[in-house]
Amino acid sequence: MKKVLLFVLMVFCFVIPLTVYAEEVNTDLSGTLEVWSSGEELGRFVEAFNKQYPNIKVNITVVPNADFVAKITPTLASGQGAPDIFTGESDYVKYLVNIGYWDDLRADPYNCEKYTDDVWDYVKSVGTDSTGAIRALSWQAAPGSIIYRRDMAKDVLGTDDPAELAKLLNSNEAMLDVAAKFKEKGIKMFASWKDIMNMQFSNRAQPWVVDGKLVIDDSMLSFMDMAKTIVENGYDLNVDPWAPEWTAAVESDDTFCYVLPTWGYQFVVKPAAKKTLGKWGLTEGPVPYVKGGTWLGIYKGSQKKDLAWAFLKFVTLDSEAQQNYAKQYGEYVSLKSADMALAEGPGEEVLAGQNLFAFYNEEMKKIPNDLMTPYDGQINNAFLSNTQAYATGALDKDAAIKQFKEDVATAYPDLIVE
Amino acid sequence: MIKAKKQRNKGYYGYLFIMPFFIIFAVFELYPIAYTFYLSFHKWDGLMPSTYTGLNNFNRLIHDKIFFLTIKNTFRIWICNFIPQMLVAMILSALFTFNKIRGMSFFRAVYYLPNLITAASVGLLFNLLFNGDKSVINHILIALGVKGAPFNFFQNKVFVSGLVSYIQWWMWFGYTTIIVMAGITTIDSSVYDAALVDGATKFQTYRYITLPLIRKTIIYLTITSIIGGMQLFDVPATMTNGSGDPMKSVLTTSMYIYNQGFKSHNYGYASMVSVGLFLIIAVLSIFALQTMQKKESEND
Amino acid sequence: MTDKFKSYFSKISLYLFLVILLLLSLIPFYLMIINGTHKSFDIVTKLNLFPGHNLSENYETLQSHVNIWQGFLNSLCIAVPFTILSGYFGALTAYGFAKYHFPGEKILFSIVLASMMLPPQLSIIGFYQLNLKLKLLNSYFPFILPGIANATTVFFMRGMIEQGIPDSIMEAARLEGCSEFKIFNRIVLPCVMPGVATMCIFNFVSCWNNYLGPLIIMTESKKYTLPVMIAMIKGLYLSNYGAMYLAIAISIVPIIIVYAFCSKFIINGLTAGSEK
Repeated sequence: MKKVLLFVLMVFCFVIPLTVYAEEVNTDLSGTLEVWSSGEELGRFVEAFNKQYPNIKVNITVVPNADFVAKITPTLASGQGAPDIFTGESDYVKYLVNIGYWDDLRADPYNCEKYTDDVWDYVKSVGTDSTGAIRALSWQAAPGSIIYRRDMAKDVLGTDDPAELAKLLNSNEAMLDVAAKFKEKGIKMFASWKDIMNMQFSNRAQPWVVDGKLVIDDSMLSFMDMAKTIVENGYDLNVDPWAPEWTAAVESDDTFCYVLPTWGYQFVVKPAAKKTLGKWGLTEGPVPYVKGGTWLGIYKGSQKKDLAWAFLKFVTLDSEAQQNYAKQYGEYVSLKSADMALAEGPGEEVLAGQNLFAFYNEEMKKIPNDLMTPYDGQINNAFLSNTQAYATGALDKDAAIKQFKEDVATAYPDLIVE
Repeated sequence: MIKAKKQRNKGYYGYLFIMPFFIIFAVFELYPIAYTFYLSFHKWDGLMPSTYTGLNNFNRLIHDKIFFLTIKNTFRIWICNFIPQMLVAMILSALFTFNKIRGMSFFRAVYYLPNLITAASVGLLFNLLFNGDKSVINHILIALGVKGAPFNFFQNKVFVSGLVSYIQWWMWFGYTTIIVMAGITTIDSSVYDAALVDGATKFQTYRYITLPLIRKTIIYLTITSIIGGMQLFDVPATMTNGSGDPMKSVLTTSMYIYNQGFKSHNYGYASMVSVGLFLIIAVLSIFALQTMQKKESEND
Repeated sequence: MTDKFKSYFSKISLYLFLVILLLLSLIPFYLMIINGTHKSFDIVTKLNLFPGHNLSENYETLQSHVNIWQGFLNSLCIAVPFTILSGYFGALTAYGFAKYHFPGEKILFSIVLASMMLPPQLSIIGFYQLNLKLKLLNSYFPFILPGIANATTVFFMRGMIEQGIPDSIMEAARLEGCSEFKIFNRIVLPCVMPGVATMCIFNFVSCWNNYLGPLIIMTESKKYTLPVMIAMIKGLYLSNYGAMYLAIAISIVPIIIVYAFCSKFIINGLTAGSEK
């Protein structure tokens, strides 16, 4: 008996220290990493990162998003002063992916394909350029949803259950019918019709540009009519997304829903929901969609690629790191295993106990292929601008479409526009 | 003969005085300017090597409807700002010079304050005040029971253009007043005494004596206003998020340049538009200069 | 009776006019500063006329995103030398153009004017490359040194000097044996101080509020100036209005101080006239 106890004790003495070291504190890699990021969220990983890599100093410079490309372009062109890692917002990430200043992560010494099976498909696909090279990955995934007020739904539609509501909102026409019902009770259904653009955007069969030619998908044309109906009938607040009033409508008594992806919940609804705590819910609209996110890649001329890879891998491919991050900040992350694990966790107070990870996991299974092009930023702006002109009655539909084509031709004279 | 030679020698001292300016100018400012002109003959996306395209950009420019629209917009915004600005500055400077106003320096100081804030912050503030059904101003209008409220301020072309002009006026009228008054300080007070002895009223004195004597100041204000006004960027860009909407009514030429360059990556064409704007500003300035200098010789 | 009434009436309407202009100037200013003491949510939902209670909270948010005092210092280290250089050398160059006549004078002055006319947006690209070659990136110099070649100051001061300094003064000084340079420093410069002070205020403000230049030239965030930091505070998701307005309020304070300081020179000039 004594001998057995002794043996067990000895085993414990050896095994437990070994499990501690299983965390792999890496003290070999050392140096300073220069990172340019368009937002502050990336910086939230640094503390946890330094637990595993205590000798790498991560220096994050935040560059205002509106001028990010303006700042990075001369730096990259001159080949001097470029950071080791830089980010790309969804509006212009495809442009950055295709210009080739991010290293191909499939090659040595990265060999990312060992890990990328765990990454949601569209995150990979956006970060992949036209030759199939994976140039950028993200720690975020941004599937879409309709973030709605449960109390108003119960009041006007008789139910606040997400599945029931999804049935009521399963097509554009259905959404407009519901909007009419809300209007009767003095409630504006949407915060802004421009939110819905994101949803329709993913509903297209073709991207904006095919073989160098501008293509206007039919779903975009019908979206223009939907926008007009919304504006004419007063179904929204008559503001732009991110206008102060739009953000404030979270706590209002007369706005029903925001048609936004995960970041809409995290950055618009959740921080503002004080009076409306527990009154929100997540459901899906006619089509699942994705919009937004920040990708990052390693500068091809970096002198510290090993350090850069350590950080990039930690942020975008380390399931445990992402789970810890998501538990603390509530962000929906890019690794399937992480999101599945988080779906088992507690729900959100703001959402009356609904678990957002479980909800979005279902959405991610259904989303369509990524149709992003490097021209999307400017083309989307032109489209929204001209749809607004049509919706407010300043232009008729044909004139608006004609103007849209002219605007695209002005922005990108190389594209063929008929 | 000797006196003339001495005067000519003294003239060359001028070179010494202006030398520091031109040395620094040649180093820091000539290169970027020349580079922009150079780019206007090329096609460049900022990262790949540029390709020489000769006069293609120029050809595109003279057929570019949007370019001329932006020139019209920018000129309209400028004129609606400049005329009220000069009027108010003249009136204020006349009031302050000829009347004993209590607290004059306080008034003048406060009028200058709007010039101190970044145009970007101002654009943001006015967006907050006017944009949307529940914006601050609409709140007030609804509370006052104004018919038709809430208004879609930001969907009205005239309103948005007028608002930009108003903001420009608000930011610059104090500065203009100070400059006019600074110019007035150069006038010898004995001139006024002579005029008053002759029985001139304050208004006559101001119009026929003060104004002509500060001609150089007025020319300065007009030319710099043309230059600054035609290059307008910050206020309309932050107010409309770079789009110049509604319907591009406040899309200024500088916004167009910025969008073409930094958003569409057409740096070559954007440079050409810059050159185009430069030429238009030069023409306007020369025109203004000639008109004012003609008046000067007429008065003499 | 009626005359007295008329003058009373005109005086009242005069002051009314001035006060209305005063209010118009102040109200947006006041709103922005008040907003710095409110919660972001309150800022977007109502009209805040009185100070709120969120000053310390906003300040904490501010400091957690950026080091505002570092930005303040950077802006100061650029704007003060720039202003001094632009004032002195602007007057110097203007004096050269105004009082001396030499071949090529007209062409050179036209170059000064023309240099102002090219829109500055794209020049930043050439400016970046230039400073890259001169190894001046990420430093204050690219913004301080051009103060010596400030075309606006030269343009304005030339007019001032032509209008205000008669040739006779210079002749008299020369007869007394003064060198040209001394004439400028001892006689002309003090005379045109009101004009120089005016330009100094203006140059300080425009240098202080410069955004795109420092954004692109500074490669480290610890060298960012205030306008860049204010843009950073806005954040990707636009939720930090309170902190942003507080930063704007902080940004305005030194400008007001410089203005108050320079105003002394202007006021003295206006009441004294040009002394001989």
